[in-house]
Amino acid sequence: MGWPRKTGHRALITRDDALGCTPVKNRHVRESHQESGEIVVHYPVAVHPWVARLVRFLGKEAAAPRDGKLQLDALGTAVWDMIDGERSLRRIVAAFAASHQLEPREAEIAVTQFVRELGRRGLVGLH
Amino acid sequence: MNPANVKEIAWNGIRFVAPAAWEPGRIGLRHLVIESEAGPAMEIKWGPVKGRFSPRAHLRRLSRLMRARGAALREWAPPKDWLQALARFESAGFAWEAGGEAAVGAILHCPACRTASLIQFFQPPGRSGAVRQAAAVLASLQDHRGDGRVAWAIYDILALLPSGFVLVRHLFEAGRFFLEFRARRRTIGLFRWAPAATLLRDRDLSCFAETVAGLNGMEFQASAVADPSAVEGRERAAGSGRRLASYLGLRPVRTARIWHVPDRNRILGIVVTGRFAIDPALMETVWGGYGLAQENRPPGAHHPR
Repeated sequence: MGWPRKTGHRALITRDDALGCTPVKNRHVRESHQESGEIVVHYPVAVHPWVARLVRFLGKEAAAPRDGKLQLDALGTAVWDMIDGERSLRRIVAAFAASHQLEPREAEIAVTQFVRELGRRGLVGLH
Repeated sequence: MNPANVKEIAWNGIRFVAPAAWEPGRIGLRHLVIESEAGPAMEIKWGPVKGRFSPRAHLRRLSRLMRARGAALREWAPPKDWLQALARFESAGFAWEAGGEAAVGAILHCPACRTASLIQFFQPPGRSGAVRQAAAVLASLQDHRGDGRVAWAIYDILALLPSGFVLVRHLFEAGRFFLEFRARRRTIGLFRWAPAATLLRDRDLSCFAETVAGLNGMEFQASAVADPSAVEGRERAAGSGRRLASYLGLRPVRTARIWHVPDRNRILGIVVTGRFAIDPALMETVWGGYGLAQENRPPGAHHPR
């Protein structure tokens, strides 16, 4: 929304629709809890397809997926714990804003950026 | 609008009262897009004008621009409550539609401070109430203050700064807000961090100021002037060469005050930078005008301290 543009640029999904999505954890992801209460997320990292092809070309066996790790800070841990496959992003944002006394917009940016990063690594999907 | 359901937004000379659910979405130096849950609700742009200004002539130019973009902008006769709200401005109303988008608005000119503003309220088909809510926003719209000072109220922070300080930089990131103002050779930086409980979990306020806040090179101690939860920062005592450089104005001098607001889970900070020794009265003036907005505060209740 704003002044009409020359080109027909439109977002693929509206903000409202995006907030209505529910994040779901990848079932191949494991968690370990540290003494501080923070979480380390372990996830499989697949070998890049062209590396796998090169390995096959060289007649070697395909390498097993590596174990990637993501250390979450206190705020990341709080959001990660709220991802239960049932709560929508909107509800997670509201709960996060309330628990940390953040501005709604600020909480929305923090949570959506974090979930986007998790999605980029394949740790969560949205439905 | 019920005073409990509104909030004040003040940015670079412009002030208005908006529904509490509306939040700034895009923030420019002289440009704001305010969003509701459903999407953008309002946009305002403003700036000083020199010489004559005719809202109608400007509207004709805008209409030509919009036609080039395939939209139809037409002159629009605002309802009576808009006209009452805008009585102190020279104004021309407009409306446009393009695809699934539509808006009504007005080009305004304040003869007192010679500021021109363009304000529009978005009302896509199927969404109603924009015109009614707009009247209340317009009735509260101000583009200058009588005392020459500039008020700032955005998200949860508000500030009232001495005249002459101009906004040069702003940053609104999750957890960190920063505004920088400059007047001649002095700079004021206003900071707000959240959530304080997490940021101060394994460090005290002085350590936070020196590390996370990026104020390294300064030493902090409990404030003797401000409340006990504040720390004051001064440049670390350095060699005679540095002291001489500061004395000659070759090296900037900083003074800082950082304080914790536990009941709001926030940390606020002020950093004043100058080329020579900084007048302590400036820090006290800025501190007196900088704080957190009260939740559900009535419009006009601006001075935090």
